[in-house]
Parts: sequence; structure tokens; C-alpha cells
Amino acid sequence: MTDEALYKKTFSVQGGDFEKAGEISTRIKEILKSTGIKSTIIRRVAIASFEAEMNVVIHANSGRFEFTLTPDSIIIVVDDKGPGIENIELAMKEGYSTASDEMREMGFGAGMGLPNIKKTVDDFKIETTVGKGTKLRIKINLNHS
Amino acid sequence: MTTYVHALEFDTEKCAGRLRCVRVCPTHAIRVKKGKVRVSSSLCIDCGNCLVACPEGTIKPRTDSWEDVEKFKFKVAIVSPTLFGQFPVAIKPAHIIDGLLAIGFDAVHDISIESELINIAIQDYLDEYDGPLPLISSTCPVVVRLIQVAYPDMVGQIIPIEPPREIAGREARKRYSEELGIAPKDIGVIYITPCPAKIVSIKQPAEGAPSNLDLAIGINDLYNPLLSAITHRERDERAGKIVRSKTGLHGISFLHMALTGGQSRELSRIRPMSVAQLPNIIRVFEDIEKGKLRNIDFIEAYSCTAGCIGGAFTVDERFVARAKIYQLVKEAQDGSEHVSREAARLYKKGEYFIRQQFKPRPIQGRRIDWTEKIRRIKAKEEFVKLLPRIDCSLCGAPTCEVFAEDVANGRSKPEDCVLVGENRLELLRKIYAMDYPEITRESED
Repeated sequence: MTDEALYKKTFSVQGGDFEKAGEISTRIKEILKSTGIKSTIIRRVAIASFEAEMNVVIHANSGRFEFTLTPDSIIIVVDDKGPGIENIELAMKEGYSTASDEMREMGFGAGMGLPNIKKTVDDFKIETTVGKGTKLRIKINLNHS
Repeated sequence: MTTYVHALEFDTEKCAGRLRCVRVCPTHAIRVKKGKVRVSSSLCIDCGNCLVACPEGTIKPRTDSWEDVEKFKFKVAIVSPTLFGQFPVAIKPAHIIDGLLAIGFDAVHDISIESELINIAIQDYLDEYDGPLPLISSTCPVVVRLIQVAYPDMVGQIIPIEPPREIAGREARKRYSEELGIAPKDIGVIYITPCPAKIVSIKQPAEGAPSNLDLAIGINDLYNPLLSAITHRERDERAGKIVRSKTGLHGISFLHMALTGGQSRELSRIRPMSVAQLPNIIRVFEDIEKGKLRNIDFIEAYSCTAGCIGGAFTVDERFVARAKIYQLVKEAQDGSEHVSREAARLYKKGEYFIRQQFKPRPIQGRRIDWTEKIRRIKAKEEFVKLLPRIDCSLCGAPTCEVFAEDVANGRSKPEDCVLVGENRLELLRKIYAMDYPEITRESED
């Protein structure tokens, strides 16, 4: 196993920018499609990266989104400046959300974001400091055959 | 490698390299090289955008001719409601059906009951289905092919229920061969098509199973003889009524099927949405792929603006045609109840499945090492920075972005860009036979 980067790209995410929300995951999907990686893997990456991107848009002030392609995996690190998560255990429960009422009225904050990401990826790490921000690192194995 | 049958034929002799087709192709399957068009067969999804855009008549649809129709002993026309919106308002569906019989069809079968049948089938299928949502209608062949080419992981979301025209084809053949004692092969089932894509869906169905339809004739090819047959006949007392196969009535719901949203209207038990035109469909599919589209069970998607009335073989302007269909709906003696009752009586659960599975379409040239592909992606990203991003298409590709991809993949040379290559403009002047006198300017003293 190696984490040597074959391809790396970083994006910045603006908290509260719902107009552009989802553009990064679309871009990543495009890149992956031209590599010829299996479509089932691309779809998992698309879902996980979209949820991660949305988390920043919904909850944080800003974030840095880093996408790395290694010979045997796809790694996404999302580092945001925001409120952090007070209770990670709760946040990982399906249906739990700290999204504001406004966000919920818009249809966001169903409490599926983090649990959905975890379900979709092969490796999931989260570090958070209340009042400072959250860093999410996820990995999807390529399982070449 | 599978060879793909296409509904459109390119006569390169006639091609003047005017680039219209290159710009409108949704899958970027077309390039102009040395002033002539080139098409990638595996990327073409038969939408017909190029056919409509070409000012030179380079592109010809491969519709069947009346001679092909005449080979059959008994000829059944399968008509969709789109046809009914193509004529002046005084000409009612009943006249159009009479006209079809007058020009030589032995029977006319509209797809009203079939439309109703698949609506029941879709709701039933959804009740038991627990895979990823939304499911996507299989009615528009372009949409099915778009998924096979560009959204391979979504092929499982194409609902495996036959489109109404296919069910109608099977039913018509069965009915007339039983009623009249004619061998099924002697019955010609001919679809009157609003678009080229449906020709391909007959000649080479996306799922690989044989079609129930024999031939396809474009609405535009039949229009003049049909109009003349209609106007030279006495209007009979059937005016205003809508006749199915000379006997029954059909419903308002059927007329709506020519329009975007027509099907969604009828699906009361589920959460449907409708979308038309490829750029919109692509945006919706992008959202589905990343899980953004939620709370939708079923999508009816049509490649053409406003639905099938926007097809390349239609005659009247699509929004005018839509207005006429709305008018027909108002005037129609609604047979909806009758049709619903008939459909409920005929409906057999599990009968309307497409037996073969939809599979992604393998794209040619994908078999290179993926680290090499990554190298090419990087090369593309570097090269595109040097380009003007004005998408002039003079390189022969639709956009600077696509051109950069072509260059990275060795399909074009950097100097094919007029702003990169020293001699590109000179070459283009020759290709387009432009012989300008040298421009001289008087000095302003």
C-alpha cells in the first residue's frame, strides 16, 4: 500500500454558498471518469465528496478540499474552519443534525451526511475542535482487478 | 467490438465544414478535420441535434420508405399523439386516422391503452423495488443511450418496462394475425416516428432484444401525402371524436403523452418529475450520480424540447404543436375512463418487462493503462491554460476544453488552434476556399 500521489487537486469551499455547492464533486467525478476507473467506485466517490462538500457549505465558514489519487486509492481531506462538532458520537447517528431550522426548512440537515459518508467509504477519520473546525479524511480503495 | 447502428448518415461530400454539428453534439462525438465532418460511432446517441443544425443537408436520416412498407401484406400504423399536433386545428385526430387509412395503411393503432398500461406497470414495479432511486423512463431512446455512454453506473436505474410503442407493436401484430388469420411475419408494424432515435431503437434496441416494430417512417415523410389525403376527403361525422383502431375512444391522458410532464401527470401514487432537453437532463443526471436528487421516485426525460413534439421529424413548431394538443384536449370527448377501464382489464402484472438488461456501452480506446490516463489528464489541464477559452471551434473541436483533451490523447495537434499554430489560418483559408485580396490601407497623413 502506498499513498504516493499520482494526481492531486485542491479546491476551496465557501460556507453558505449554496449556489456553487456540489461543483467540486462534479469536477472530481469528471476527472475520475476520464481515468476509466470503475463506475461503481466513481459513484461512491461522488456521493461521499458531495456530502463532505455540503457539510462545509451547511455548517462551516470556509473549507479546503483536497483530492488525491494514489495508485490504489482515492483520498479526500476536507479541512474546515467552523463550529466543530460537540458530540461526534451523536453526529454519526443517522437522523441527528445540528443544522439550523433555516437549513432544515431548505431540506438540508436530515442528519444523514456523516453516517452516509462513513457507509460509502473504506476508511473514515474525523478530528474536530469545538469553535475551530473539523477535519475529515476519507479513503476509497480502488481494488484494481 | 460492437458495431453501432445509427439513424443518421453523413454524406461527407456535401459537408462544408460549417461546424454547427460540432457545437450542438451533447456527447462531443463530432469533429471537423480538414473541413470535413467525422463522427465517433460509440459516442453518438442519435439525438438528431446535428441533423437539425446542419445547413448543408449533409446529414440524412435512415428512415424506411413506402416501398419497404408495401412489402407487407397487412400494414398497421402505430401512432403517437405527437402526430395529432402537426396539422391545422380544423384537422382532428379522426381525420388523421382516416388519412392514414386512405394512403394505404390497413389499420391504425394509437398507443393510448399502452400508455396507461405502463403507468400501472411503473407504479407496481416501484412498489416492490428497493434499489437506488430515482428510476428513469425507458421511453426516449436518446436518454437510454446517454446513460449507457456517459452514466454507466446508472443503467440499473433505467426502468425495465417496455415503452408504449413496443407494447403496441406486439399487441397489434398479435391482434391482427389472430383476427384475420394472417401470418405474423406478413403483418408490417410501422411506427410513425417524430425522431431519428426511434429508428435506431427499432434497428438496434439498447437492451439487445429484438424490437416488436418492423419499420419507422418519419412524420415529415408522410406529411404531404397525408395532408392531401385528408383535405381531399369529405369530413365525416366522426369529427371531434378520437378513434383507436377504428373502434374505441381514447383518453386525454394519451394526448398529454406528446408533451413533457404528460406521464408524470398520470402517476399519482409516486413522486415523479419530468425534464426535457439534453443540457437539463445532464444536470439532473449529475445530481443523481452524487446523491443530490432526493425525494424523487421516477423521472421521465425527453431529449427534445417540450417532449416528443420537439422531435427532428416533426413539421410544426413545437410550441405551436403543444398549443394545438392542449386545444385537442379541451375538445376531446374524454375517453379516459374507458381507457383506464380497458387498461385495468388488460393489465397483467409482470407482462411488460424488458427481458434483457441494459448494459453500459463500452467506449472505444479505453484500454490503456490508467496511470497513462492520469498523465494525459495532467497534460490536458496544463495545455488548456494556454488556450484562449473562446470556443471558436476552428480547431474542429466544440470547445477549447475538448480540444485540449484531444491534444492530450494524441487525436489533435496543438497547432490546430489558430492562436497556437503559425499556419493554421492560412490552411483554413485554403480549406474554406477563401481568396481575399490583400487588404491595404491608405496611410493617414
